[in-house]
Amino acid sequence: MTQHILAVDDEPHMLKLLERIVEEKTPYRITTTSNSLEVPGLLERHAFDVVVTDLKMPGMDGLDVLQTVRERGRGEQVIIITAFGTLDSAMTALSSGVFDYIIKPFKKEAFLFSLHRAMRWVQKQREVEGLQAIFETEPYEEAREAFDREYVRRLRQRASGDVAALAERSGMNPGQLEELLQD
Amino acid sequence: MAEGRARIESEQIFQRIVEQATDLIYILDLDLRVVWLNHHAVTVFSELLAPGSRRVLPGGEERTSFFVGRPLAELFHPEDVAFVRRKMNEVVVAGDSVSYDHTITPHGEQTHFSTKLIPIRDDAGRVTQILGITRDVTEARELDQRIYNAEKLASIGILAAGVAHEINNPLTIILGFTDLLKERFSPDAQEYKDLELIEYNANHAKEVVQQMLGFARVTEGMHDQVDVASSVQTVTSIVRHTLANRKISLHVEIDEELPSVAGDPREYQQVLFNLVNNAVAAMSRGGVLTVRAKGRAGWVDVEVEDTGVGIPDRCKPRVFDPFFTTKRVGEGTGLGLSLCYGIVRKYGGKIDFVSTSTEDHPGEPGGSTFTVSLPVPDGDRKGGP
Repeated sequence: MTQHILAVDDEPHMLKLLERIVEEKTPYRITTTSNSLEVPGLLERHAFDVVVTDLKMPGMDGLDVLQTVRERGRGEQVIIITAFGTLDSAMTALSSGVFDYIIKPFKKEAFLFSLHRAMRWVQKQREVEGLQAIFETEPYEEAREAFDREYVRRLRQRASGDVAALAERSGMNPGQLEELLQD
Repeated sequence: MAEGRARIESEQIFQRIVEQATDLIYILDLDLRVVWLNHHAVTVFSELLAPGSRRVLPGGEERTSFFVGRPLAELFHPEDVAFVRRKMNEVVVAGDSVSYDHTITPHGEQTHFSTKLIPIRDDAGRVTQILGITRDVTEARELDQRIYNAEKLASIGILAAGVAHEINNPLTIILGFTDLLKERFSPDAQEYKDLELIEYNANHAKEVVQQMLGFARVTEGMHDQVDVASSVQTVTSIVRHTLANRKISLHVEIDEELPSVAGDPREYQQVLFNLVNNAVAAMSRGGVLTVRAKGRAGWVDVEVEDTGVGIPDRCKPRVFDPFFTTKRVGEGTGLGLSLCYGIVRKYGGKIDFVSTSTEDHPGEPGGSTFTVSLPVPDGDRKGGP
C-alpha cells in the first residue's frame, strides 16, 4: 500500500516544491493544502502516514496541526519545516512529539532523509500494532484465525509457487491453505 | 518679638533650601547681570566659564561675590549669552515662564541642561527680573538614550527575525527548484552553469539572512561567564592551520591568571574569530598575526594585531556600521564587525581599533590592532582593585 503524505504550508509554491520532490524522488503519494483549516477534514477522509507542515501559518499553526494529529491518535508522524527556526521553537516542537524539525532553506536530501525515516517508523509502528491486535483478539478461536490469515498472507509474499508448493514448504494442510488463500 | 524670630527662622529655612538645592537657582536682571545665585549655580557656572573669565576666577568664599553683579557677557561664550538673551526676551514678551533644554560642551564632554526662566514682576506688574532654575539632566538623558538603544536593538531583533522568515521562504523555493532543474542537465551544459550561478547567489542571500539573524539574536544570548584565556586558545588553535598556508605567522600571548569576564563563550569566540578573519584578510601576501590577552584593573583586554594593509582614514568612521564592507561581492556581508560591536556592548565592554593604512601612508608598513575590552564582574576580580 503506497504510503501517503499530507503537506501543509500557506505558501503554494512551497507546496509545489514538496510535491515535485516527492513525486520525482520517492515512491510515496502526496496531498497538499495551503489552508491549514482543511487539515482535520483531510485527516478524516484519507489515511496518511506522514504530515509535513510549516510552523507559522494563519488559521491553525504547525503546533496546532501537530496537536490535532496526536489527538486523533492514528499514528501519523509529523515533520515541521519552517523558515522561523529558533532553538526555543525547535525544543518546544520536539518535546511536543514532532518527529523532526527542518529549517528553511533546506537541502532536499535532508528533507528526504527525514521523510524516509518517518515512513519507516510509521510502517514499523503499524506493523507492530497489527500484530498486537491479533494477540489481543478474543475469543481465542478468532485470534487463531486472524493469526492464520496473516501467516498465510506473509507466506505468499515471501514464497512463490502454487498451493501445493506452499503447503509442502510450510507443512500446512493444503485444504486449509486453499481456504485461507481465498481471503 | 516671637513673631520676628519665627520669621527669621522661616527665612533661614528657605535660605537653606535654596542654597543646598541641587538645581542651579539664580536671578538675572534684564541686562543679563547676575543679581543673585545659589551655591550650586556658583559651582556649575565656574565650570562653564569662558577661558578668559576662568583665568580671573577667585577661589573659595570669594567666588559668589565674583559672580554677583557681573553681566553674563563677561562670563560665558557670546553664543551662549545671545541664546539666554533670546530666551529672556521670550519671557518678557510672553509675560510667562519659558522652559528649554540646552547642551553645553565645556571640556569635550556633553552636559545637558533643562532650564526654566520665570518672570519676576514689580508691584506694577512689569517684569523686572528673571528667576532661572536649571537642572543637569545629563545622566537622565544618557539613561534614556541607553534604554532607547536597547529597545531599538530589541525591535530590530524582532524585525530582523520576521524579515528573515519572509525571505527564507522564497529562498527555499528558489534553491529547491534550482536544485531539481540542475539534475536535468549534464554538468557541461550552459543551463547547468547558469543554474549554478543562480544557486550561488541564492546561497549568498541565505548567508546574509543568517548573519542578520545572528545579529538580531544579540539580545538573546545566554548570559554566562567567559574564560578569556581558554576562548583565545580555542580560536587560535582553529585558525592556526589555515595561517600556515597563507604565510602568516601567529603569536599568542596570554597573561597568567586572567579573571573571567561577563559574557557568553560562544559569542565571545565569534567576536574573536571575526577579528582574526579580518586580520587574515588584510594580509593577503602574508604577515604576522598577534593575539594578546591582558588583564588590567577591572578589565580584560584582547588585542588582535595584524601587519596588513590597514584601514584607510576615509573608512575608519564606518568600520562598525552594518553592511559596510570593503570586500568584493561574495566575499563577505559586512555584518561581522557590527555584530561584534553589538555583542561586546551588550556585556558592557568596548571594542576599538588603531590602524595605519598603506593607502594613506604609502611605503610605510601598515597594520591594524583591534582591542576588545570586557569588564570583570565585581565578585571575580583577582589581584587587587
